[in-house]
Amino acid sequence: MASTFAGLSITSRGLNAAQVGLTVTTNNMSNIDTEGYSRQVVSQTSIGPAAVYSSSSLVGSGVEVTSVDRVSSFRLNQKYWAENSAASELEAEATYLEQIEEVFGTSDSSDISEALDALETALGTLADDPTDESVRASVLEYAEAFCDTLNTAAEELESIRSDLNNEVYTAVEEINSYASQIAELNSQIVTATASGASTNELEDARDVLIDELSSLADISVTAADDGSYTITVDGITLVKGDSYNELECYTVTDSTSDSYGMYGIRWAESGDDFDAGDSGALAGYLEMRDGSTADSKGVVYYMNQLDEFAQTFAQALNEGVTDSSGTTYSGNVDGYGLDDSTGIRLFTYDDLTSEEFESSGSDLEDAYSNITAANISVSKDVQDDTNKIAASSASGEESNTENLDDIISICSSVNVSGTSTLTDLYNVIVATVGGDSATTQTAYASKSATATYIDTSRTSVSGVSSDEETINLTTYQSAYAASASMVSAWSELYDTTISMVDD
Amino acid sequence: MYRITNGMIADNTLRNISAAAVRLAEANEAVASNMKIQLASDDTTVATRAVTYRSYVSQIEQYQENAESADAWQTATDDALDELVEDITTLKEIATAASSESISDTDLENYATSVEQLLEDIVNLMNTDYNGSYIFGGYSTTEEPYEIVTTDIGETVTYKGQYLSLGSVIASDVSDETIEDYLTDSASEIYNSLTEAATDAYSAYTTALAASTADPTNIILAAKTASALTNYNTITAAVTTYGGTTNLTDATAAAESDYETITDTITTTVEASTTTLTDAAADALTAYTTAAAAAAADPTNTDLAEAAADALEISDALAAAVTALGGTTTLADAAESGDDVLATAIKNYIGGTTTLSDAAATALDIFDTLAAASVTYGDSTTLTSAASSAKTAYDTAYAADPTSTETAEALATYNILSAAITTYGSTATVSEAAEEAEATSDALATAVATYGGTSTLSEAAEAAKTTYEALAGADADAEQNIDYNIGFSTEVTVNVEGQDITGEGSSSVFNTIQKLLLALNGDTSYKTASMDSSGNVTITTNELSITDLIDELSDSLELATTAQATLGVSMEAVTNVTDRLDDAYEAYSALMTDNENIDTATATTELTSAEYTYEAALAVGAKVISKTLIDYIG
Repeated sequence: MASTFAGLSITSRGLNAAQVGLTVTTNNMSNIDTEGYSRQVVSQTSIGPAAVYSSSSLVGSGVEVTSVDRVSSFRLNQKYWAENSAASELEAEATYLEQIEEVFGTSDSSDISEALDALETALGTLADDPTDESVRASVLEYAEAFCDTLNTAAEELESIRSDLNNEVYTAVEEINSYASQIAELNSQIVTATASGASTNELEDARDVLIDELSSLADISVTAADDGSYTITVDGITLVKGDSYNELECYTVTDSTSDSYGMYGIRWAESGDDFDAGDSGALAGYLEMRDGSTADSKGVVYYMNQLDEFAQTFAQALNEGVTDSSGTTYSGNVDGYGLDDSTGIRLFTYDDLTSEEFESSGSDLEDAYSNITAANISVSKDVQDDTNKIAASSASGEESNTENLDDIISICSSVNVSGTSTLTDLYNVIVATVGGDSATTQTAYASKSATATYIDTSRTSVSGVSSDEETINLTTYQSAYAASASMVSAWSELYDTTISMVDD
Repeated sequence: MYRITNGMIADNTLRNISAAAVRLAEANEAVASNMKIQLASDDTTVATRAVTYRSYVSQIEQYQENAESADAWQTATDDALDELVEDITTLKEIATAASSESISDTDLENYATSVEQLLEDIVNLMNTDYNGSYIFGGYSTTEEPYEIVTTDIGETVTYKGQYLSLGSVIASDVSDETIEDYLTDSASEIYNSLTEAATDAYSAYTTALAASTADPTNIILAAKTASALTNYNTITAAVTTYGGTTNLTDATAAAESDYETITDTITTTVEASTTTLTDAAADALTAYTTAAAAAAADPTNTDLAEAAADALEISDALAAAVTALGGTTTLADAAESGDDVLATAIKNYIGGTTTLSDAAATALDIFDTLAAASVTYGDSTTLTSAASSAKTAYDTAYAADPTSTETAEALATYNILSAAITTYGSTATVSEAAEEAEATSDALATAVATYGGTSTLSEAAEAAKTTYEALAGADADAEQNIDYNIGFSTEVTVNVEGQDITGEGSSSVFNTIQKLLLALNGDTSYKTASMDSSGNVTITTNELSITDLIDELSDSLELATTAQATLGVSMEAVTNVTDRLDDAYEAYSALMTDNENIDTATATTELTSAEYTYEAALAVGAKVISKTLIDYIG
């Protein structure tokens, strides 16, 4: 025979369970917009009779809430982190490639090829009358404008590289911060699990942090038995339990390295170099910042291309060109200016005179390797005296334009290298960066769509549906109402029982 | 996906609205900016083509400008030439009038004044400028090219500060001493002289030498240096032959005629040859054996091997001819037989065996005979009739005494006269033939002096050819053409150099005018002076006749009109090119805009479509995300 007030205690358990259900539903509804929130469900079991193996108790003792569980799929999370990492890398590359593209000119702003065309036109006007001082002055202006355009482009590429360097530093700081927070959460989760407390909110917070971390680096996450996550980057442990390994940035002083003068990354404790792997925004920034070969084209690669273009241009116009069929076109050095000077170079670097330029290297090839897009300038000789622009092929003949004709041909129609004219060489750079940018953007669009799809799958599993919660609310409400009406019923019973005893 | 949450629906709606907005923004940008692409990555092909087309279009614009300038320059030149032609015609009329017998002294004086006026006018014309540049000055466009100067030996015209011709026309009352002194002092200031050409050749050689020393392994540079040196040596030899003060154009013409004389001599020697085929064949065989032995002794020498091969060819041809035509046939007859291979072989054989001194002696002999014949038979007797008279004389002498010297002489005279018919033509008079024979004889005598009496005709011909080509090359190099670029790899020469219109050296129009002035003054002779390479001045007195001057003026007129005709052709070419440029400009501009600019119809359609999609996304999305179950409970 059960105790007198057993009924009441069963209803109180029922009320309690309904209340927990309502609370959980309310919690879910409140958190419907919370980022990273996984919906929670109540699991309740029925309680068996009070005494086991006794025929006196035949009826169960009500309901018990065993746990409030978080609905989340670790497997989907792992998939999402991998895709997010890859997509973030492509995003980083696409953004910066677009910036590099803009350096080489948008389709309606003045850029290097237009400056070259303008210089050629000015030289053509000079060929009509080489004695005209004002035309000579305008040739000087256009030549300087061309050098300025190259200088500015080089500067912009430098500043893009500097931006990337800062991004690398920021990314490393963020990785450290996330790692430390995840380690902290790990320890809290382990303690809470050990004492049986609920860890839903902590786990949600940890997943959000790992989402952010995955976009920065190529991580792989495994769940340990005690509830903590172990995170490794490229095989090396970043977070394990409550401890984490910090990364630090240092300035690279090895002048033979690709990243000379930029930040290098290493593990703080062991001092080993950090390998960012091949996905994650950090890997993207590093590749964009240091990539200098045809396989990995970063800012440095395009800076080198631009430098080569500047060198070829200066050398062709100064010294002349012999093309593949053996025809020789003379440059400024071979011609005679209006003042019968010869051996003057049009383009040097850092405003050097033609002579200073010659002695700036062990031989002429070496001197030309000193020219970069950032320092190319018109030579001081020509800046001071435009009569040194060598139009004539012999001294004393003012209207002799044979040398100038060669120079004009070199600007436009002579194959200065293999089968490419100067314009072709520039076009190759534009085509390369344009092609790279286009393919990266396409790759990013596709990767990001995949990542989004997996994220949607995650939400499908653990997202809160307000319709579902509303139905749950209605269900728990009626359960509560049902238990409450049972209390009234039992209360009446007790009244009757007590008045039984009363005289 | 079995479970959809409101969050997922909201996210999805937002994503679609964003995508529609991106498309809308791009379509808007395209229509507003009228450009297909903003960055190269939007369409790389379009971007690279844009760079190329823009470059083409800007080049064509420059070409159009150049073509306009070229046209203006050429028109100015044409106008000046028109006036020059008028002036020379007037001079011709004056000369014709002055050559008549019944001319008074006052008339002559008036004519002289007119001629002086015309000279100044012509010089002014040749100093025409277009836009500040003197158009007849070649590359020296900042100073007036022509100037009349008075020197110790008379008035002359300088071109770019140098004497156009020095010593070509001197009044006969100027003393020889003055002439010698003046010529010696001013020898270096003659325009386009042979000495100048030699100096230029030397500097070309030093430049080539510097280049090949800087790069010793480059065989092309080494070859260029070697040929520059040969060129220099040839021209230096020419200076000795023709005189350092000779004008380069005159010297080139003289070298050409010398070369032709030698090759003609080979032909005439063949025609007159009495050597039999047997003798010639034997001789050629011996020559071949010697050459083959020499080649075998030095196997690496390609020249010897070549010479041996040539000798073999000649020997074989002659041997074959012996069999075909018979050993007693003369070489002259064999050459006429119609076999080209044999004819060439005979020519090479004669050329390779006859020495210059022999040829010169034969030529002198021919001249003497023809001169004597013109005295005997009369100047205007034709060669044919003279030859028949000579035959008659020979027959008579032979009948009288077959072995006497007179008979032999008569036979020789007859032979020479009949050979002369072949060389000079049957209708030529004896005196004409004698004159030409004299020229040939003189030329061969000069050749003996230059190349040595023992060199064969073939060798001399080769050397003469080299000299002629070297001088012609130097003449061509001295051209100063102002070229304008008026198309892709199309250039036009806009200027005409002064000396191409007025003539240079001894045949310039200014010389003719000087002679005309002397003639109008009553002079009947004038002196010419020239200087050879060792500084010796030769002074000759020449006859002055106005009739000759009329011919010279006709030549000058022809020179001017030819120059104008060539200019006219060039101007027409420029006009054609201008038309083509206009077409090309339109074509490339069209290509450029097609490439870069949007097709307005397509772009606005895309914009409308994007707008519609965006609005649809907004409308549908709003409906979907606004209702939840809560709205329907209670």
